Amino acid sequence: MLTIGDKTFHSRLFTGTGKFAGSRQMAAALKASGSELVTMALKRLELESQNKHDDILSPLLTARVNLLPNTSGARSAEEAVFAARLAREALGTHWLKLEIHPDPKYLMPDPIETLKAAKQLVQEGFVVLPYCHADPVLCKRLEEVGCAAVMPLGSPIGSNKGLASREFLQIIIDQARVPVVVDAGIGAPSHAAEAMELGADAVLVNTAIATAANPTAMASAFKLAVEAGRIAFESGLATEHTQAVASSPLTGFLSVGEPVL
Amino acid sequence: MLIQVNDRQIELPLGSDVTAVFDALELTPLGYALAINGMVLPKSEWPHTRLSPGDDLAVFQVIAGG
Repeated sequence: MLTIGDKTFHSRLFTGTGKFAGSRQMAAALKASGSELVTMALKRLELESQNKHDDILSPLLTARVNLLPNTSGARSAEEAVFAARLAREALGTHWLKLEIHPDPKYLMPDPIETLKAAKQLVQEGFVVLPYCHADPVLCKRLEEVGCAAVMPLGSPIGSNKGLASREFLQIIIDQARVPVVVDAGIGAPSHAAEAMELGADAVLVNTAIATAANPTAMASAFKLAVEAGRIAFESGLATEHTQAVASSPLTGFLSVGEPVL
Repeated sequence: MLIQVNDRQIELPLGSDVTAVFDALELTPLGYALAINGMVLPKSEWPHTRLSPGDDLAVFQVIAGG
């Protein structure tokens, strides 16, 4: 069981709601994932636009999952705090995925603005889960200002490149006294399993599920991978060796005596 | 009175409260938040907050996201 802030979770797979073909497909995939915490975004309502957004909130409320609004689109701490206050009113939750990435090409999170916003939002009573680079020093600083968890990236958002930051994630996991949720870049169930084997407390997956040819089946695959990775971590993984270490006794029977014909 | 709501101006009777905006736009206010003149207004205060002519409302909607 995983505890973050005031909530406990049976599932260590958190999911995003973006990039699905529709709300029915999303609801089916999220159900298959077993996820109990799902992210959402906030957008300024376009009254003159013909592009109406699907009602994604109703199926999520029906599924009784916990909602984690994000501050995507914020380019500074000030904008993120504004977005957080709006999200709290829109969804009635004080949980928040804090994300500030001003650079549209790589969507790299801004560490300085993120730390500044995290400090203020914690003071305002938010349960803050910051998306950040896999920077062990920054993660400690975010923990110190009161974040309920840290969410370092595996690789850039939507890149599906897996744990490019693996060595630094390991340091973060070793040092953290709050849950570590590996977010962004997890493109395959094997990446999720790898993060869990490292000792991550959870992973957050969106693109890899939502853009799969069969999102529901892929959600199931991620569910199994996260469970397998967690069990492996808790079971104590075997240590690596440079040289071979035999699994069977080396009796040398082929070199003793002559074969019997 | 005229109220600015995002990219549109809407006409409301004098003395209208914030919930009247959603009625005028034919929206159910589930999953919405708003700011008046740059300040986020808690949902609990919507029925008690009377709008003034020229108020600038920014309405936000929950959408899918990662």
